[in-house]
Amino acid sequence: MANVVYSADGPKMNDDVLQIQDLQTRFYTQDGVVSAVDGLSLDVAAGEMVGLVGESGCGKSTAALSIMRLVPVPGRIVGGQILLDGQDIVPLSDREMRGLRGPTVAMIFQDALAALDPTMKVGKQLMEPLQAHMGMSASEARGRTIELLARVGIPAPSERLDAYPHEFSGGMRQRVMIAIALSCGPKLLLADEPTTALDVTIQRQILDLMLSLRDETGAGVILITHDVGVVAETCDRVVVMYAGRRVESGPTEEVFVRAKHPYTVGLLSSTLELERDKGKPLRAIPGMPPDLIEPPPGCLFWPRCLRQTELCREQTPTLQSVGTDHEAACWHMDE
Amino acid sequence: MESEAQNDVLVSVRGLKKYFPGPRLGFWPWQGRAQIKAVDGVDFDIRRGETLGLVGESGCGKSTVARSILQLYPPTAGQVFFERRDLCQLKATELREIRPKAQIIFQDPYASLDPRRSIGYTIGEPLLITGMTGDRERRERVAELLQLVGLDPFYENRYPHELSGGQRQRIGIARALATEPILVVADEPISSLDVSIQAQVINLLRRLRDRLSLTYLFISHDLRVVRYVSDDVAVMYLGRIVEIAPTEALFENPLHPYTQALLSAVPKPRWETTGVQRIQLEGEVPSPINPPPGCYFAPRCRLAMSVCHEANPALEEISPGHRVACHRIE
Repeated sequence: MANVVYSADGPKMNDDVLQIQDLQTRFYTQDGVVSAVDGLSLDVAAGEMVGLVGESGCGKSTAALSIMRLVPVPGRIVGGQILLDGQDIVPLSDREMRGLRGPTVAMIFQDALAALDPTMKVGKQLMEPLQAHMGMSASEARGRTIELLARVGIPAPSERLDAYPHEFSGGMRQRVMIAIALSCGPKLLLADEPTTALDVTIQRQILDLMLSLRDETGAGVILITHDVGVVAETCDRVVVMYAGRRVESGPTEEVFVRAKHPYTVGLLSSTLELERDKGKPLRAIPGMPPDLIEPPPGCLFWPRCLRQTELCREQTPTLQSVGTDHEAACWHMDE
Repeated sequence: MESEAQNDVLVSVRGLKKYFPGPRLGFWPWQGRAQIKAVDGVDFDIRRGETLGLVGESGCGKSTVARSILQLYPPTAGQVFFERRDLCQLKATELREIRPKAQIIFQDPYASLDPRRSIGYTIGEPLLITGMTGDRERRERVAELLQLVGLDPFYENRYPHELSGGQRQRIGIARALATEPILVVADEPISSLDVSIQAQVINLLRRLRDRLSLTYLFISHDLRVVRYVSDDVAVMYLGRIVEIAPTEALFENPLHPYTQALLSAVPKPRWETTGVQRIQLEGEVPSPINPPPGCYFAPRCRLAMSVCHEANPALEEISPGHRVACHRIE
């Protein structure tokens, strides 16, 4: 067993499966150093579904890849701690980390066709982690694979073992990916835009499947999405990211109904819900997300913010408590 | 008389069908091919100045309808009346005269702009084709169009790869408006865009509609967007319209089981449980090559009766403007 590194506060005392403290992940590119994740802290408890929202480039996918220790070159984690089940995984070697992927943490992606191996039969892709991590024999793994495929709703699973990913529809492929991710019973599941590319009725099926699997296994789940509506329906808590930082977080209803950060407010006003007050105008957030190469001091949202002042440009706002378990980082929150 | 002209029908589609050749039926070519019935008999009208939303999931045929109406795909059957002329019967030269009046905005702003042409050229191309050969005149019009879509005229010298997705989509819109069309077909115009940019483009499309008195056929899979922009909505399933109604009537009182399932699937905040029964839709859309006999939705329909598997229901008017194709509702 690898050396277990505890956080400065001692061993994990609560049921958090994940505790990220001040994570910094940077990409060293030819154009400069991109601070993709810039001091992110967040926790996920067992059985909790946490929504991670923000527009493209806000760092949510990079944060997930950091948790998996799969940040692609030229990126790397340069600071902070990621406590997975109490153990800081940032200093672990690749070999030690490989032992954690599957049994402790797993990830599903937006594009199942890209994430699955196109040249390997689906059954084999499912059996691999079972044999490698769970020490099953080939026949045990085969039996478990059929059970898993049935559990995620693939009809006639024993016949589908020999099919290749491209022979499945989008929704079915996503289910296969979920089956692989959950096969070794991870404590933390990272889902990066799992339903964005799917039709709404298939999305409904996949989200319901994820919720029921969460209930059964007690895993903590991070659901990364830009679809605010999905978060409002499925997540217990929400973390709003902007330019690599957490700008607001808290219980879902609390954050959505009593949003404090101007970006969150802007995001909610520019999102269409089905039941919409017709008189309410659709307010787009002006401008575009910032360049993350060597970010300037101060709040990174200020160029697009209606409440901006000199203070915003000079000092980076810190996260403050604005409600029960509700935090936001803005100098002008009660306006 | 003026109000009648305002609400007269600009586009009238009857019995539109578009079939594509599918896989071979046997080893020998003479055994023929299966047909992919992408659009299998579609009827609707769009009144001048209004927006008809066309919704459905992947493979339902909505994009094919968009392109077939504009004769980008020659329809297999049916009639498309535009300003009272059937576009399907027109010769190429006659169509060329109509084209400036009916334009299209495509879904993918990355694929629909020629990467090797400047923005100014791309927007100006339709003008060049329709006879505006004077360079200065064209440049002025291009500058005007760029400003119309909220971009600085200096963008005319840029190339697509230098712009963001939202900016490229604005270019696509500018190009569609170049020849002063009266009908604009918008095929999933915001689906490829980031959520915060979607709102900007939707607002732009609405402003343009009001300012230029446009008529839109707005195609989308996102019911939330469709509800916001449309006056009437048609729901498609496997090549057919299953329900069509004024927007509020459709969303307040969906009649077709598929429409109900679709609305039920849209995520809603968990603290706003209205006690509406969640409709679980099992399975997936069947292939358009081998549609089931009878009503195409019957295999997945929670209300299916025996007649549903035998006879295809026709669209019937249940209340003014609200038509549904379902044996249960007659």
